[in-house]
Amino acid sequence: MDYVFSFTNTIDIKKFLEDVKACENEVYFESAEGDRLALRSAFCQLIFYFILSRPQKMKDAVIRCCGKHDRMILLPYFEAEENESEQK
Amino acid sequence: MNTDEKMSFFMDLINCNYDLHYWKYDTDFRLLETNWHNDLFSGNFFDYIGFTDLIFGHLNDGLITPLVLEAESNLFWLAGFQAKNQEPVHIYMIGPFLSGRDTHLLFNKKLAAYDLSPKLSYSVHKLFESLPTIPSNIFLQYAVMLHFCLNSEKLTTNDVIFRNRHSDHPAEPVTFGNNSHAGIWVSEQQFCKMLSEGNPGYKEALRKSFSLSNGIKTDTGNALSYHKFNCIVLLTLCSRACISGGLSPETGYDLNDYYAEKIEHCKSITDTRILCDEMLEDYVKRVQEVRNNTSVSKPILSSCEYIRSHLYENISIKDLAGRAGYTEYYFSHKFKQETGCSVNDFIMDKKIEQAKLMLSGTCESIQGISDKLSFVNRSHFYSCFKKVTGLSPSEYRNQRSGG
Repeated sequence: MDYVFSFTNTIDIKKFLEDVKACENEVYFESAEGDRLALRSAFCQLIFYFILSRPQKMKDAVIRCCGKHDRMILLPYFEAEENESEQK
Repeated sequence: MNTDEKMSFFMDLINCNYDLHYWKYDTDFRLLETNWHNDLFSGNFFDYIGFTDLIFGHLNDGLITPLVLEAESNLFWLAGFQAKNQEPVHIYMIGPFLSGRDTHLLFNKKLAAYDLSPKLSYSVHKLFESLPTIPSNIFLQYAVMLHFCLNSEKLTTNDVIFRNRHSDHPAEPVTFGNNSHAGIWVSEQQFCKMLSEGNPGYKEALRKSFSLSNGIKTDTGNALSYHKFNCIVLLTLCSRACISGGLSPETGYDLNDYYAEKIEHCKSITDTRILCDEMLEDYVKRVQEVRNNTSVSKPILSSCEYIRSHLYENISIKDLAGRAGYTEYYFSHKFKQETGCSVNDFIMDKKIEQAKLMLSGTCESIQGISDKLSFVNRSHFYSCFKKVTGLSPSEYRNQRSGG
């Protein structure tokens, strides 16, 4: 099962990416323009930092993860949005 | 000149060759000044990629030597530390730059492997294409110069430490060079000789060797593979040199296999450099242990070391005996008893070995080699060389150069 959270860059990015490493499955950052970054990849993280420096890219961006284990890890970052975005 | 003026001049000099930028921070990593004006690599970027943790770890270890910081995809910065009374007062970052001749190609391959919009893909591609690619021997020299600008203290490239956020190892020095083979054979032989003797001076010999050569000239597809390839070559040279220095072949080959596997598992260039340091140190320590257990006494071993490191001088038995604290007669007798050859034969043997290296690896004239090695004259050099090798110096040189 996929879980989708609306992304906000007000979260602690460094801690968030450290927690992403603890996820069992891939975690994706998806922008409204069609960019899809696998956040456990160091290369994609570099691109992710590039995107972070461009606030307009954040608009309507989401984080997608898979499985309850990973959801529990990422939930604290996006709790407020989770109910609206969760997809089954 | 004050430090700011020195830094400004230093950056002007660097910018004659490479378009690099600087960031100046206080010790709480608050940005004070920069000439970088792109959104990327700004704000908390250094914190995100773990550089601030690496820098604070370095400072907390009481170190102010320059750092080479590696991010993903062979992307680098230099970090220098201005100190007063050994306490850091400012942190300078210089970069960004790439290293490795195939880095752009590798980067583009990776970029193509992910689902990025054309717009983002183009922006990222454009930015990375604009970054300079700097050979490691050059950026290490910049690191040394940066430290000098900030602290008026001379370091060598061996003092520069590589770090990346994936590495939990301590530190390591580096170096690399140009595309010519000139002088490589001699420096490589010196390096192997030091390894076989368990001589800790091998680090300096390796530094010299790296300053002459980038390593193998093969396109391995990407920079990490290229560094791994070079590590394997170094490992092979090292294991064979140490076996010839007395390490048992069984141990030498076992270690060879062990480190070859570890090299294969390295995930970054920094990892390969750190591993090479560990590997060389391990081998050399083992040779030292073996040599310390030989039946040759310390004064004689020390005399042998002295001879090896003073081949360009006129070495007399009288001097050697004096250094060992023996009479000439007793020293000569003991030397022959323990090494199996006379002092003069040993000196001659080592001088001829060095002459062979110089004949095959340099363009130095035969007269020049004879003078450097303190032979009485060219004729004496000729007869000694022929006696040991069966060839005249020029015949030997022609044979080695395929002429």
